[in-house]
Amino acid sequence: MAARDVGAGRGPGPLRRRRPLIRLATRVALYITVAGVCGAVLFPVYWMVLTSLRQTRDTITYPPDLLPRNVRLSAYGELLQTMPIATWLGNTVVISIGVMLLCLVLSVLGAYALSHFRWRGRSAFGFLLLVTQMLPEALLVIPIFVIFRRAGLIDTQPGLILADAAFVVPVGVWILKSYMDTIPREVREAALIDGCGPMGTLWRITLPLSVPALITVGVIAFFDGWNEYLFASTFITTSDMRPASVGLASFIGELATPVELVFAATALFTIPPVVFYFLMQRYFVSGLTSGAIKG
Amino acid sequence: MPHRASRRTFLKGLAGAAAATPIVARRATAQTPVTVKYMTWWWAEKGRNDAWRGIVKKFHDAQKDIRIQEVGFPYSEFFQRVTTQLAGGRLDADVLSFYDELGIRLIKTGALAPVDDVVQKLGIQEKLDKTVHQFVTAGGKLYGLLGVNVPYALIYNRDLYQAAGVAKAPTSQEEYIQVAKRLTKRPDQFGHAARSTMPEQNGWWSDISHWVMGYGGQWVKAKKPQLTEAPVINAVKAYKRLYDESMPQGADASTYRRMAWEGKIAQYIDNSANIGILKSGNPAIYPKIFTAPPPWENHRAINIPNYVGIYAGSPQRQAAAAFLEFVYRPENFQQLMEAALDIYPPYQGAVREAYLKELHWVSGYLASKGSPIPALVEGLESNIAEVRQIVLSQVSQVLTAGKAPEAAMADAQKSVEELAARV
Amino acid sequence: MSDRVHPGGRRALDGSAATPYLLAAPVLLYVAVLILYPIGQGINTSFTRTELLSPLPPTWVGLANYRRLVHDPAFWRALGVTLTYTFLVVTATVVTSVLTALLMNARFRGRAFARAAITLPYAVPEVAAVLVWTWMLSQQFGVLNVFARWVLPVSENLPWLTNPRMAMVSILLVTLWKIFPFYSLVVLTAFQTLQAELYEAARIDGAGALACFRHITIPGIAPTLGLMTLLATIFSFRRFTVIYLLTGGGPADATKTLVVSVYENAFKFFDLSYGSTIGVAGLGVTLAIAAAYFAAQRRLGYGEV
Repeated sequence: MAARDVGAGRGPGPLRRRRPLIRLATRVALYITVAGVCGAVLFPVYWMVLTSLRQTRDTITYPPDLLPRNVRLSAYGELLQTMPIATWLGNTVVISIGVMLLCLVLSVLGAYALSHFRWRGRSAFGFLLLVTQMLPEALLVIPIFVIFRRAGLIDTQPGLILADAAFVVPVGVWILKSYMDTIPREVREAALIDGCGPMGTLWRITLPLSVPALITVGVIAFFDGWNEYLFASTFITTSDMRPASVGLASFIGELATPVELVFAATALFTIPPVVFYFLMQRYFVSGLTSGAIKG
Repeated sequence: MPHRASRRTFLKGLAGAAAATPIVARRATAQTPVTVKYMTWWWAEKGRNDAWRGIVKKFHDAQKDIRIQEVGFPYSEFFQRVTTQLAGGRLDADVLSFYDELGIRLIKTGALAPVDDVVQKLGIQEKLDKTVHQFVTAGGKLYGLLGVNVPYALIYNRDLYQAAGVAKAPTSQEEYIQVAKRLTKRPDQFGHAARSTMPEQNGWWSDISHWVMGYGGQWVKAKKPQLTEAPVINAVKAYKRLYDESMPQGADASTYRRMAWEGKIAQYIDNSANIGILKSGNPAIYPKIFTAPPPWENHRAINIPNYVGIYAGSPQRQAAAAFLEFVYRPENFQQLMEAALDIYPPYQGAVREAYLKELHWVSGYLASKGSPIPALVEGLESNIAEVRQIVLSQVSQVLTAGKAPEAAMADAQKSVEELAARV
Repeated sequence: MSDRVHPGGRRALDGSAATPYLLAAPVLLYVAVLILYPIGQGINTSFTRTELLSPLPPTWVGLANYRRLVHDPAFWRALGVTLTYTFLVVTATVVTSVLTALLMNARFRGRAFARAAITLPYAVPEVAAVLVWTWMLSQQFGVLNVFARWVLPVSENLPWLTNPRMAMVSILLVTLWKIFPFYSLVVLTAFQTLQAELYEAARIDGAGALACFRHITIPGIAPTLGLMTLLATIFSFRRFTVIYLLTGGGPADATKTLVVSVYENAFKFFDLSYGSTIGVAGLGVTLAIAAAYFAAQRRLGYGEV
């Protein structure tokens, strides 16, 4: 019998067959599919970057040139010279990190409450969290503005962080709870019997085992803080405190929008969150199969 | 050792304090500058932002007590942000700009302070253009001064006209449509450009309103919609023909203005501020751009006035008024208009004749007989947005879904009548 | 077993009875003040006549706005558009994100890059995304026409955004592009909970890839799929920027969802009360859907909620 190749990663994946030729074909098909999917998904981004490198007359021709011929960096030059990009990006980084941290802390508390315990009002709590997502933002902007104005939080970064995170926390709770539910009972009970107590269990067992979900929630919160626009533009009026999302929209003039500049700015703004996600990848390993339950 | 050193530093400190004291005392009696927040979308508009910054700098140089701070939102949501802040209790501004639709609401809700005293100080009561200020006048008081008014006219690219053998600009609707068709070679050249999509409702409304006025009509008269009358039906029909034959369909204004500066639009109807865009986008095209009056006998078209006013709840009303008074002095406003390439003065004497004479493209605009949009919806001025939405929704079906203009306008008529009954 | 070892059982080990309440309280307080209370205010506004930027104060009108809503054909049309849009988006999202997650869970060189690349649409700000898609979908100049003409038997550029039917396809396409990274990420996370031992056992029994998928994978991530579907549905109802900037609800109201209608009524027509009414109607529908989900969860026994 040929050796069975079982070592491949957790979860579903292409089945390892015994015949090397079929294996090769499967691998090739896999790489082609990945390339195709990435290509299709990235094409609009490619188009955006390409447009930012082109001259106007090349963007308004049909059929458009698919390849980057005749490109120049003047849009980036103009952008960096005329706009406070560094300030905008700096503001955005602060807000995103703030939203991420606040969201992680609160999501852990809420998810643990929903997942680990049985208590009266549990369903209602979970349901209420979903209700927070059910009314359009347009209707919430004015009441929240009033609350923040009375609290003196208008035009402050902490205020914006509070407003953004409020909408992400319910989603974070649900995603984390869903993941925590998959941690087997025995693991939790073993910890409790060892005298851990609920908070000790949370810290020593549940959280380490939930790392993929924590990363996911962190990434979601970060991205949300990064791109959030409605509250940022309504609450922040001092231009020095503008985050990048608002700075980007400020290009859209009454009469004309300098598309090359907008796309150049977008290209710059999109890179950090993607790099952040890329760096978080390495921690995206499940703790479940790394020796927690054996025997 | 430490003792001596500390004595040294102590004496040094004393000396320093002694030297500093007179300055500190002086500062205490001088005034700290007052900050006036000027809220407008113009800080994002290429050309106009620098024009205003020039005036602000001049203001700062001329006096030390008042400092202007730039505040604002992009045009597309200016309306909504100002509304949100006001609904939330306070607008974070002292001076603001606004357009006619917003102005009507702001005055109704008491958010604007009268500027009659500024007008008095400048001595321009008699010279003020009354028609353009009619929608910011209420109860005998004036609530805003014209910041810029953009008239509309026929813009054409003389080279493209000559290449196609068009001797002079069209003077009738039919002629315009024919010339447009002749000059259209998709996708490289178009004989007309205008808006036709819902994300650009406001601009689309302007573009189609010219035609209604050209046919001698208006949308609403004395609260009664006129949508089934000939002028409106003809306007919709003309628009449909242009849409099918000569327009870059689905292109937004930003796109077709860029096409225009690349020499791909032979003629279109657009406002005077647009010329500045063409010039900065492609200086080489500027000498080839000329204008003619709107292509119909009565030369009517809309114009879009934007005003500057003072927020009634501002704690700095006096400083705000001082700023406005400075800006609207003839020598300053002339500078502003020339830097922004504006041509329509808020009062006689606010623009230099010599400057106007130099502009080779101004004739069409000067001949255009403009009225602002609120004048076209007489009786429903506070509900322009709803009328617009109803009408354009139907026009959209004519353009894209093949609905007959008469049927579409009949449906629109009904809906607007219901609206009129409701408000 | 635990009962014998420790009197009082597991419960006694699990902290006091108040622990879960203490854990949930900060979260509840936070969202209650910042969101639930404003939602309550929004609901209250729907029972008044509130005009924005008006010198008149709000007046109580009871159910008048709702009566108007029920008789308003624009509302029913918007509801229909919203339900169609939601159904199509959710279906497409679930399918594409599961497939993408499967792909991204396989082992291949450059996987980390591929995963990061897939998140790019999620990282692009909505305003910019709409700008580039509007451009790509332009009837005159859009690059998508180039691809469409390779694949489909059409001789002219397509009216992506100016034809009522195609406009719906367009907003679906842009929505899907923008949101599928989020859901793929969630499904990928769920995949990490599936234990390799199950697959080992199945393969020993001779099961093929498809059977593994059907009998191990899907049931394993079913709770996550359910949550995803619910979240995608709720978010669909409130998705605003993409639709509003891409088509403005047009052409001919073909893409005017409830949320677009809310914004229009509240901020363009200044009728905050009627806008709130439409919003509350949307809230009612999503509440019903969420309640149905919870009931189904309970019945199917996917762990209590």
